[in-house]
Amino acid sequence: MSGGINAVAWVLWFLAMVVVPLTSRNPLYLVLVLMVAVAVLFSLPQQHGQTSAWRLFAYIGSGVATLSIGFNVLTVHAGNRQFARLPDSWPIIGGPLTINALVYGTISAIAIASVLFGAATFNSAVRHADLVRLLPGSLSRFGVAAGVALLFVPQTISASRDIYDAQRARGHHFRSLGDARAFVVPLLSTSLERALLLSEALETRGFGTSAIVRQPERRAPLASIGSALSIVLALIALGLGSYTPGILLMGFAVALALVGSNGHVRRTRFRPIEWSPRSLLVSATSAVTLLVLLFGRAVTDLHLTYDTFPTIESPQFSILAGAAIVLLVLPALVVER
Amino acid sequence: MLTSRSLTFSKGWRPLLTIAALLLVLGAAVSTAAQAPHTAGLVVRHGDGTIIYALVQFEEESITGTELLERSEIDVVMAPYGGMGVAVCSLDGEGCASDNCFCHSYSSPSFYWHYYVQTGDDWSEHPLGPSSRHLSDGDVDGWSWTAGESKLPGITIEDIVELNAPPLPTSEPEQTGIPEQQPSPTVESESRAVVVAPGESRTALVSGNGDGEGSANTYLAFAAMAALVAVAGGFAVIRQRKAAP
Repeated sequence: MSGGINAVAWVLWFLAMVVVPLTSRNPLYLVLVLMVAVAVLFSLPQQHGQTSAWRLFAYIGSGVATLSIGFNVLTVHAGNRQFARLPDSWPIIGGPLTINALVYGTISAIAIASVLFGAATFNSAVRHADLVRLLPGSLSRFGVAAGVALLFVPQTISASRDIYDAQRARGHHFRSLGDARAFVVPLLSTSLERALLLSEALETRGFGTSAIVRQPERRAPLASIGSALSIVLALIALGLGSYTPGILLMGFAVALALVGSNGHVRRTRFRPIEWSPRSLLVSATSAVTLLVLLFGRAVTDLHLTYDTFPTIESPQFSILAGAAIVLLVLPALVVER
Repeated sequence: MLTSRSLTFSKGWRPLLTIAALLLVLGAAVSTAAQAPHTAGLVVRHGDGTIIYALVQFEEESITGTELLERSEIDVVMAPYGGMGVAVCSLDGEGCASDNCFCHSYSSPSFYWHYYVQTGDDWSEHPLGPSSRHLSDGDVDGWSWTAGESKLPGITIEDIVELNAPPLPTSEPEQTGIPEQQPSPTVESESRAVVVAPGESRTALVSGNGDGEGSANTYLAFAAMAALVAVAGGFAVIRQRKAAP
């Protein structure tokens, strides 16, 4: 439990947060989501340097995302508002440069940045051990591997910062590229050392070995077949533009797959998930946001779709969808200091 | 004698004549009902946002999507598309020639005429060509020159009928809000079409309310929500910094 909010609530919050960047290019919603993610990230208490490392990760990622603006302008030559033109003989980038492509690139950059800030918030707020505990037994190994992979970036950033400070304290100055050797070599050795320690720790805990394994149950093949069929139907539904049935079928397929695979590995849990009022509140509001954004379009037009090609039009805004996104700022207000 | 025979004849056949007369009336009614035209709608959205709302009347039980296009009097260029029937290359002058039907689809973004059918209040892309689609009374088809979302407006057959209704005689035609109404010149009752220029809301034309693109009220709502998030975030950050050791 981090900040008085449990991992389940944070998972729901993160899922609700990424719905808009993954399904919409409406700039109004994307700006709101980005603001929410930034507000919640900066409201979290600083823990062991992880939070600041994830913040740095979000900054760097967002900086890289802005490159998509230039890339989009130079490579997409469609749209009705032309502001410059490169010679047609130039490969790929030759042709008209349009404001449509510029706007679309900017919107894409905002979407990427909002996902990165959301991920940074989520990873700062939740301990990966808690996430692994949430996974079904059969996926726990995958969860550990994913957790190790996720921790690579913030740990490297944290180690880089420590090494940089230590070298500066020794009087080292980074003036040229050659001076970077004093930084890169310790970073590599530290990373290798950490990898060895991690592998030894996993080996000691029996990671990857057979634990208490039961015989596969009879329902497993049926569930797998059902899951495969559901995926096929979901893809057909999505291909035909029926998003709600497609998403529901995809969820059903995942549930069936979990049912089919669950039970092979039995795990014990000593610390049950605590449901504080904060966790309940964040879970409830996140669930409402998820429901509104995923299924609200069946009731009213949420204006999630927006495109700048071939013409730029004013984006529309649904108060219902906007209010649902604003609800996601709640963790910033209730998180425990 | 003749009169009495006639009377006798008429008396004996009266019930049959009555039934026959009833059958004739019923038959005429059925015949009239069978000849009552069915209607189907067609919505065509150009790349610049211009939308054509066409109404086609037909006597058959159903017509194909191809027939709907042809009867709508909109200029259409089609090309054979293997086992999927025909592909629409150009509509109302926008698109490609039949020898290179998808000429604008080979680069990114990829444009071609996407075919949609109305399902409830929504549009869903039809996986086959218009020749494989059968429209009955009240059905609506949509075509959009797009590289992504359809951007077709939510509309019902009743809306299209209303849009294509003859304009009421009025001394102030601009109050109708219809920017450009062009009944098809060569058709009388079989098909009609209305062209709505970009920037004009179809909803505004039909119901007269202001639910158009990005109205000032919705932007105010967005600004208020953004301000709310900013204030909440600022408050949370200040509180976090105060609580930090």
